[in-house]
Amino acid sequence: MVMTTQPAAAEQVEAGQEPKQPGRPPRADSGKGYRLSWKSYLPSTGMLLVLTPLIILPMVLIAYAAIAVNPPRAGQLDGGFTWEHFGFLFTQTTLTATWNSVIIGIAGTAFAMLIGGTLAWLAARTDVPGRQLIQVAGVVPLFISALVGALAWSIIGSPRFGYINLFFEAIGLPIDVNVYSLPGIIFVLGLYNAPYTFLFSYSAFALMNPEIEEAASTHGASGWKVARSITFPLVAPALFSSGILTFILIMENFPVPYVLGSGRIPTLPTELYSMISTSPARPGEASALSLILVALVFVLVFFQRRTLKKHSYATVTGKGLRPRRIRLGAMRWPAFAFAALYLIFAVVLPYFALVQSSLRKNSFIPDFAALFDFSALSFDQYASLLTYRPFQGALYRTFEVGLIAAGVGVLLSFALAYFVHRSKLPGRGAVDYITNIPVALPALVIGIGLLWTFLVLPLPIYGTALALGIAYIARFLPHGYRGLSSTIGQVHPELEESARVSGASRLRTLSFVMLPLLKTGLISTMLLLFIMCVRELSAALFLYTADTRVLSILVFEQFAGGSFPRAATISVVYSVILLLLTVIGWRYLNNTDPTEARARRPRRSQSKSAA
Amino acid sequence: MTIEITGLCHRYGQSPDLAVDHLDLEIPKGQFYVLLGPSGCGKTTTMRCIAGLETPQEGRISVNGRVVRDAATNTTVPTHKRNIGMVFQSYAIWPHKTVFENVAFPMRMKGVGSRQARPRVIEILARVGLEGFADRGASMLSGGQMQRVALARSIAMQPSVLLFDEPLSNLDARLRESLRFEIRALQQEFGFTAVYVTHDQSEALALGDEIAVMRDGKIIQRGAPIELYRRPATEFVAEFLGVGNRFEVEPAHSGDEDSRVRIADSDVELMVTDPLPSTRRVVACIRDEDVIVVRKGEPVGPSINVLDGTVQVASFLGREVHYQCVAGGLTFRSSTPTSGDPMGHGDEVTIGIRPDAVRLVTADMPAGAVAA
Repeated sequence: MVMTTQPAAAEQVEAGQEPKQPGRPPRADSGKGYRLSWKSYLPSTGMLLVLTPLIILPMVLIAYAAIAVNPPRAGQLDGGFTWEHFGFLFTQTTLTATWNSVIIGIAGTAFAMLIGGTLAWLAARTDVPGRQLIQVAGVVPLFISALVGALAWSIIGSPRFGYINLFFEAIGLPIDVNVYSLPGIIFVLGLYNAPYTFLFSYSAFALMNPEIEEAASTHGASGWKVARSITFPLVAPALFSSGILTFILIMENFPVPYVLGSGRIPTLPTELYSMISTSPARPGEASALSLILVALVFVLVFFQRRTLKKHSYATVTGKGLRPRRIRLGAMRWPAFAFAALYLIFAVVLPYFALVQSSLRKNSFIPDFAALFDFSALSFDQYASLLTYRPFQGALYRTFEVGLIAAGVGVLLSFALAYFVHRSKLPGRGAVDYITNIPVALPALVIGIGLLWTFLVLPLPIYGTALALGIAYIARFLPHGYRGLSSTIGQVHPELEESARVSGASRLRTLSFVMLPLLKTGLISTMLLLFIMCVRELSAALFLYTADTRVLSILVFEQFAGGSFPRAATISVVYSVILLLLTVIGWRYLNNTDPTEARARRPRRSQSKSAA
Repeated sequence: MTIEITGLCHRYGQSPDLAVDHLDLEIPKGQFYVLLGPSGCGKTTTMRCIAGLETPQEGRISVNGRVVRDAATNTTVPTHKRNIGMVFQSYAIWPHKTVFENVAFPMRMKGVGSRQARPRVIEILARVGLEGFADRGASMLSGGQMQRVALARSIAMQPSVLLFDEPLSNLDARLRESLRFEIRALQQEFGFTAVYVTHDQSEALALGDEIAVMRDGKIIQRGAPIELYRRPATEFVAEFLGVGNRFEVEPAHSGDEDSRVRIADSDVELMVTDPLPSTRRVVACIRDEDVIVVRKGEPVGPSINVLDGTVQVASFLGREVHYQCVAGGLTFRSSTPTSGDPMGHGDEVTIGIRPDAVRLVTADMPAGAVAA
């Protein structure tokens, strides 16, 4: 057991506020006077060893592959270096793809923020009817895979015979909507990324200390004036930073432009995919492009962090205070309709479309009325799915890989978060930094990096379910880490210190204090990781084999192979699984605060379990 | 000695300042020792070093003759093997456990079975006024009750030393006072050695056998409460012990019978009995209750130093009246026992100060802070 001491937030603040006397010379004696035993480096070394194949090695190998003549292989890392992989940068396709990605990123973010920000503001700060429904509407699309969303919208918004066009035709409107277009891609990406902006801005709106706004009112500002001059400027940094994160998510998204662009609208992620998957593969160029994507995202993340650091007003806190609600008056029901419309576009309509096409005997729909002709429907697709071997395999793999990734992910996240936030050992800063890196890594890039890693490491990982599991863990490590960091932060350090003082060792303290208090947080984090793993497509795209298809991969393959009804059928099953997981987990996902969890728990039964 | 600390230094991370700066401290067995100082003075850090929650970079700490930390030999006894009790500011009661489980925990850690621990836990709970609370959930308690549980938990482990980290600062004023008495009574009954950290001067005066006033990681003055109260060593100590009138002075006249000092930037001279410190800057400190304010023309008693002034602010507190008066261009604060009708804003008054009530101390604060 390594002897450690613990950080006490209170005392650190105290030490930080120490009044500095002007003119006092810096002290000669150095704080480095005390020797750290070699043992105190063990935890950080161990964690860096785990993070190396997950994050560090993939990055290093991508950089290597971008300038190496031959792609990395075990025992074959000496083929010489070249800059020619970067030559593709100046081709017309790359320029178009970059341009498309930027346009999609900006417009998609604007659309997502318009939806997410408005919903968040409505739910948190207005007297809109059905606030709880709006909160659900703001979050639920998060649990719909972007791939499934894109498939569904390719049905709803296809030219001529898409549902929307059939509807317009039925009511005599001469408009032809085409979702297979740049605006279509922007629309769908905005739709499914709005929950991210909702989550970020909701907490900013909800946690703001109402007294700040009340102060403005008492000094003579009207309701709207308060909103304009106080509320929005105060949440602006949070909105801006969530905008950058959303931009990154949209720009790196692969399935939506792949499905809706159908080869005619290249973006950077679809280019990346085709470099690896169309033969002859161009691994060097893919690596070079990955490197550029990563550099771009790092710059954005840097700005996002700086914005938050510079402008995070201390006033935007005050948990438990009742926020002021603006009276919408006549706008109440239109505001509600806005939320309902979003839910219809993001959830109801897509599911309707998927179910329709999974049930149709003939995929051709002549007119709007035919949508409701039940004689054209059958369960043939579902019946054939039962005997479709790849489906059974994928169903099994999805749960296998998801559970492994979520289980290991939550343990790893907890170890990392506990080490960084509750120890005073050296190496915390490095561990924290590296754990957060995947935030800035597009999913496809993680896939390529891990592909090189598995090829280089002399271990038989490639082609196994473990390969996918590792990819998911790497991709979602920051999510688990951050979630558990904030949960750990809610447990006062003195609760642990008092156990230590009472004679409990570090491990005993963990099991006596931390684990019981964090139980809800750990379960909810694991569930969230599991849902995200089940939902994920891109990270696994370069790592699966015929034996290790998961459901998202299977849907993708069926779509790419042209069997749309089957893709839709599997999508329905896949979505029902995701939906069930979300419903089961809703209670946990909504409630990660250990203090609330314990208030609900019956007391009496506890006393016996301690023995 | 129960606690012996020599040359203790501790620094947080890369901070340029030492949180504790070459501190020496000896605490005899059974003493109630108070560390008093503003936030950031290093008092809590010192205590956390004793408990082993911080590992000081320099110095030696021994408890009951056992060295628990010696930087020279890099010896560190881990926190859980020190048998030192601690009562935390946040109570640190485990909310997911019952009161009994909380209090019994230190005994369980010593290998005492749950059943064997029970009678003693019940007894101690009764002693801290929590009879019948043993099987309640700890999160359902009020703040005062939680702090009683924390007290019981610390006493139950029969520690060699009991540390208190501002245990009353989260409680309301009335509760604070009654618990203060109880802590003192428990300490006298069980006879444990206590180290008590606070920034509240009245708590320090009420509880301590000895008080050490800390600033910037160093102890500025130590002594019995009455000594500190009567003779603060420096202006900082005086201010921290609530002396409201502090004026920088220069010598005006020194004689065997009557020494006088003049308050800087004014014509006011004060007769004093204290010898003038040899430091460059000297501050005269007068406690609020030693500034006697009467209606103009009424006798002020044997004050000798008499000034005419006017009331600026009067604040009636029941037993006493607090005045802020202006005289000779200076502002005086007074706390006068209520007798008759209190005076109000603008009333002309006479201010009286006895020469032996004026303490002359070394100035150790930035010049601007004196009049504040």
